[in-house]
Order: sequence, then C-alpha cells, then structure tokens
Amino acid sequence: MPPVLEGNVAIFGAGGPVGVSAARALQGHYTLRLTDVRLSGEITQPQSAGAPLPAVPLPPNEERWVDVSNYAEVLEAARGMDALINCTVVRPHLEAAFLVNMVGAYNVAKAAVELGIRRIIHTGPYHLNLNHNADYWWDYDVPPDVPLHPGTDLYAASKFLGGEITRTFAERHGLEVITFLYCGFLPGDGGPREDGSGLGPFYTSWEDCGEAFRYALRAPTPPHPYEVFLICSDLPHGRFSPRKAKRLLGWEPQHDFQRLWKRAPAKP
Amino acid sequence: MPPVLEGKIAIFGAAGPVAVMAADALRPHYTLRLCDVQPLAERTVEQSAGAPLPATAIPPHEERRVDVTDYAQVLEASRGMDALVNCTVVRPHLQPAFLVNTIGAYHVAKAAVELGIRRIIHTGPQLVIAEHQADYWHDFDVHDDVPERPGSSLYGLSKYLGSEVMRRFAEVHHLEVAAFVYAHFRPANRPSDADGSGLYAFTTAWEDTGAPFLAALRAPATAFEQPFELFHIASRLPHGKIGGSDKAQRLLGWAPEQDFSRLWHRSPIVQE
Repeated sequence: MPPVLEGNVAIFGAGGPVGVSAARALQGHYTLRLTDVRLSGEITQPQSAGAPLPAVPLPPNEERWVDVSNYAEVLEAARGMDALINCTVVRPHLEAAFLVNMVGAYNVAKAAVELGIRRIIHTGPYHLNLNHNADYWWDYDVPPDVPLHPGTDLYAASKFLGGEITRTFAERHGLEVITFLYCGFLPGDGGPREDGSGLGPFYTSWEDCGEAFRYALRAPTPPHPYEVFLICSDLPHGRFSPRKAKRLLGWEPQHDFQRLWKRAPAKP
Repeated sequence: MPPVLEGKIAIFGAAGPVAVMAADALRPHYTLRLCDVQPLAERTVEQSAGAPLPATAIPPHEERRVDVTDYAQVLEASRGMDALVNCTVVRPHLQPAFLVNTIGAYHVAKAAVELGIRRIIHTGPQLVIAEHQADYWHDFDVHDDVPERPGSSLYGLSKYLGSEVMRRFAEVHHLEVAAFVYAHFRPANRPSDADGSGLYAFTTAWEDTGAPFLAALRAPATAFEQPFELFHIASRLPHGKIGGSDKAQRLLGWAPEQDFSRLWHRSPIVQE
C-alpha cells in the first residue's frame, strides 16, 4: 500500500506518554482521534520525571473514551481511519494486563482487517535482565529481529502475546504492521540526572519517540508484514541500535544523552 | 572497496566439502590457490554421504600445502591475492581445534591486513541450536544476526572465537568479512532419501553451497552494512525457523535454489 502521508489516524492508549509523544509529532500532519480509558484532563501525574502529559486536543483532532478490550468500541474508534496506532498497556494487574496487552492487540488488528485499514503501528517493551538464561542481558549487537524471550514476567509475557497476535494478523491478512520496542525513556536533555551519571543500554528520548511514528506512517511498504524496530538512541554500550529504523523508515534519533555517558570533569 | 570481480583467490581448507563447492563456483571467474594441510588427492572419503570431494587443481589454478596454524605459511599463501576464503576446521581434537578454528582465523585476518586484502569470506557452524537452555531451538524466524550461542562444545566454542577474532579485525581494520554458517548438508535430491522422510530445520543443499561465495566476492561495498556480516546459508524450509530472513538475498543477491520439497511433502499413502 502507499505510505500514509495524510488523513485520519487513531491512537489507542493516547493518555500514556508514548501516545502523547506520538500525538505531538503527528498533529498538524494528520487528523488525530485520541482514545483512552482516561481522558486528558484526568491524567495529571507524569509516568516518570519528565514524561509528557496529554493535552486536550484542538479541532479537527478529537478525544474519545475507548476501552481497547471492548471490540465494539475499538471498531467504532477505528472507523474512517487511515492508520491505527496501539500504545495501550497495563503492567501490574493480571486480568487487565491480558485484556489490554493481548486482547486489546487482537481487537485493534481485527478492526483494521474489518475496515480495510492496512497500516498499524504497534508498540511494546523490550525486556532485559529478566533473570533467566535465554534473555539478552549479556549480549552485544542485539538485532531488532531477535526472538523475544519474555520469560514469566506478566507485563513482558502479555505484551509478547499481543505482538504475536498482531504478527499473525499481519501475515494472514497482508497488513503492514510496524512494531516499536522500547526500554527506558528520558527527556532529550537527560532530565534531572547529573552529568556523567550514566544510563542503561537501551534508552529513548521522549522527543525522538514521537517522531518515529511520523516516519513509520510515511515509510514505504516494509519487507515483511510485521516488522520490528528498536526505537532507541545510539549509545556507546553497543548493545542495541536504531540502525534498522534508519534503513527502512528513515528515522534517526536526535538525542544521544552524551551528557550522561561522558565522564564528568573532575571537581577541583 | 569495489567488488572482487576478477583476480586471485586463496581458499584455506580447500580439501573440505564446503571449499570444494566454493572452488567449483569460483573457478570459471578467478584464479584459485587451493590451500590445505592435506594434499587434495589424498581426500578420497566423503565427509558424509554425497559430500563433494576435491579435484586436482589444473593451471592456472594451483594447489599449495598450507598449515593455517602457521602464520608464515598463511602470509605467503595470501600474497598476491585479491580475497581470502577460510574454510578450515577441526572438530574433535582439543588443541588442533583451537589452533585451526581460532588461531587459524586470526592468521587469515592478520595476513589480510598485512597485505592490504580487504575482503574475506569466513565459514563456520551455526551457533543458534546447541542443545542448551539459551539457544534458539524453540524459536521461529531466527535471524542471522541474533547473538550466537555456542554452548560448551569444543567445535562450537573454538569456531565461535575464530568468528569473534574475524569480527574484531573487520571492525578495527575496515575489512569486509562475509561469514557463512551452516548446520546440515545433503545433496538436493539423493535417491536413497525417501519421499516425505523429513529433514532438519537448518539444512543446506551441497548444490547451493558454492554460489554464495561468488555472490559475496561480487557484492558491492554497500552490502557490508557492518564490517562483519554473518549469513545463515540454508534452504527455506517450512519449519520457519532458519533461513527465512532474506538477509543473504538483500545484501548479496543470493537465495537458495533447493528447497527439498520432496522430503517435507507428505508422501502419498500406498494402497495395499
């Protein structure tokens, strides 16, 4: 299908900081339908220091209350859209985690198929250090296409299954699913952290996170129906790289948190 | 660097079956120096049923006795070459395994740097299915670039370290190294294989083994997005575990021609 250069885009989980970053980058280029189970005015505490908060959308953009675990609501929210973005997530609660992370992904993919929408941007975590033998904590140059090994963590396992459902829909129905994986987030300037205080091997700035969505909508058809990208800064740890996103989407991170990983000058 | 479209190629480990297929593919296009510790004519027993055996070199190609564990010999064998191919391997013996698989790789890479040769094709075993908890046996769509999991086997570990040596030389000295890894080989259509008898998830046809070498020599510099590019050289099989990444097709323009479909299609039920 041709790239989605304009039109209507629905974001599910628009109240979360990734959804907010996506909306900031897309507004002005697309007409957005921002959907969540909490409306913008209800979210007043950032998820972490420096994480973005949702703003009330200005017309022609709109806000809509949608429970992603309810197919009828997802279907109605997706109607008339040119692309769907799924940023929904629940982390700690057993039933809700599966309903949102897995069934929610199913609902979004199913609605896309029913309505003939072919491009979806799916999101999820890249879990590391899960304390089992088959994770990638000890590895370097880990590619985006490495098999995910979520272990038994509720958040990781439920999002993993949501990703597998979305992959299967993509392969079966010829969708173009672009999946973004993340680990840690910081403001582009490093936020309140001290110079030279370091950071983990997989970090993304909130600002870069949003821009990647615009590139994903505008990218030509990817080689595979379900294409996974690590959305991260190019950090000197050498463990995770945004190279694939540059190659296929044309997106490059603008923030490298150099202030945090360069040794701070010795104090006199 | 520009692709190696003509010129001289040294193959180390030239008596082994992978090298035999490489030589067959390269012979019409390059002048080959076939190097092995053993005279090619002495290799008369197939490594496995249907595995190819070496032919004597006919001029302008030449054969040379080279022990890859001896740097001076590797250096002399590499002199005047436009690219190097390393197919050397020792599997079961502790000291020779490290000497050939690890230090041999070091020697080939070092000679390349000393002589200004930039393109190397390195070979080795797959290191993704190794019968331990952290391998990829239970996974599907295993990409060529996944972190390798050699486990504790002598063969796997010593070749893994050789591969890491190659990677470091490539990164530091701006080489272009294509590393080909394999698991099982078999002829594409061996008469003794029964229809529907199945096959391993990571299998390469001997007939498909040579062409990737030609493709790697002729690939443009842009094919080396990283100085050391590893490729799973395998048929595309319906298991969906290995060989489906299209990396070799995307970067080298090579795709396997054999898919062993006779072996994985269910055989018709025989009526009594």
